[in-house]
Amino acid sequence: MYICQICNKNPATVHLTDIHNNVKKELHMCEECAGKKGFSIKHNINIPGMISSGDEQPTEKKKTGKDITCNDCGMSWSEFRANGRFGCAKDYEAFKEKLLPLISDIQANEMEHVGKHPAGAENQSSKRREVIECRKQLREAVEREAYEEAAKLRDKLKELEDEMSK
Amino acid sequence: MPINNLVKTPGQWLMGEGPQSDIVLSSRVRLARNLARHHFVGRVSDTEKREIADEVRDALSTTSSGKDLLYCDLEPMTSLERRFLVERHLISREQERGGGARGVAVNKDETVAIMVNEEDHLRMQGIMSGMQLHETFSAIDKLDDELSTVLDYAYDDKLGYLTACPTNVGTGMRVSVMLHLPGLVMTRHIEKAFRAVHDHRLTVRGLYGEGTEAQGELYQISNQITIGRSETEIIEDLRSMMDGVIEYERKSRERLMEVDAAKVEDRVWRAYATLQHARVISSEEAMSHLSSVRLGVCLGILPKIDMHTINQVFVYTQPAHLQRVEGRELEAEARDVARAGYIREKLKGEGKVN
Repeated sequence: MYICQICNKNPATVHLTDIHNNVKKELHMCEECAGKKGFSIKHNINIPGMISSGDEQPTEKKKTGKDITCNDCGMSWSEFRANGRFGCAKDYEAFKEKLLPLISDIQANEMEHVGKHPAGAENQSSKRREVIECRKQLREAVEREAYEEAAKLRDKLKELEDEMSK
Repeated sequence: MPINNLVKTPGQWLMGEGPQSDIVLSSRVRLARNLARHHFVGRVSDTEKREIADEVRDALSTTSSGKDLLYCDLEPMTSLERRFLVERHLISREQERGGGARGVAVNKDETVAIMVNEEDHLRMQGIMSGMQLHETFSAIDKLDDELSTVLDYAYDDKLGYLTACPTNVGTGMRVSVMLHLPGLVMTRHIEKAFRAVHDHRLTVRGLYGEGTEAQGELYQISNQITIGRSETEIIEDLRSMMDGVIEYERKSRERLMEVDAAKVEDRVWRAYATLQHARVISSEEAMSHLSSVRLGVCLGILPKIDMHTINQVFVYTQPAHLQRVEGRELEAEARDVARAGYIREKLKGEGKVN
């Protein structure tokens, strides 16, 4: 077993090999010293752990005193938070307010589906895609400082969004 | 029992074919789908689970790409049979452990597997040898389209496919590749490579998924983000990132041979000798030596061993496969003897030096 070459105290659990100009250099460090040098080992992000933030839940419930429940399957928000799985598809609607920030959090700020759709869901989906595309173009136009174009796109976007909300 | 037939031929994903198959063992794409009219799997009774399974089986039989799938009912199976399907990557460990009516519909070459009543009502998997993500997606995309004409999927125009866990919402798609990365492990660059992978919102796991140790220097890398980009974009994101990792692995192998050729050759030949002659071998030891042998073949240190043979041995030396090959239940110690025997037999006549 190697001893950490930096603190010369702890057992080395992080091992680096650097090959430079055909010369091999090895560095053995303990986790603490490795961390200080910026070589900390990131473990897999635990997504279920992020969703079910565990024991804080009961207190949160007590504090606010109210818990949302889905009328269809009877699952409550705190129950979902405890095990990370929904009871039915309608939970997405029932928990919407609390859920959307959570989805945005685990999905790198993304909340809008732009992928494929089941047969029969074409109309709405293609309109939504148009909106998303238009928004993207608008952002790019503003970045390019093409304000005339941006104004046109803004009007088009408004029209599309009005149509969608009808 | 239909799964008796599966043991005779390994799945297509073990063939060692396709682009970059020296480093990429397999490409996998999985779509999660739910039926709008039922609660999610975790919240339905056993009777309803049975109904869901029947509905899906009926729907499959009406589609051109689903009607020839072989349906394996998991409920009456022994735990050993279920473990066998896990080792083949046809069902997940969650599906193995679950209760009640559940099953998997598999096509002949095992490139398509539809899990029923896993975490979601349907988990459609495509798996192929080498770097073939687009081809793998196509294989299940068509089936998914066909099924959507007969099954009413839980789908929201804004959020996409609604899944039991919000980590899958949107496309419901998880794309992964299984990579053999001994070069990065030996040069100890693996952590650095994985840091970059994590920064791109990708997840690294071992050979058998969530929570499993990486054995045989085999790693599965998959997307975390399932919404906000199209299926093709998700595939392209992963593919371009993997091109980087593959290149890094190739460079690491080259460097190793420049700097430490004798050490690499020694490791490879010792591993090969052990596998050819061992009488008792654990799964861990076998995986580790197989990894070295696989590397040795890729680097031209060992001549001519079929990639297909090596890939197959990785899976067939797992406990449940070994017991099915032997045709009887074996305790751990007896398995180590059977494993050594199986490997010796497989390597006979392979890798002869001219």
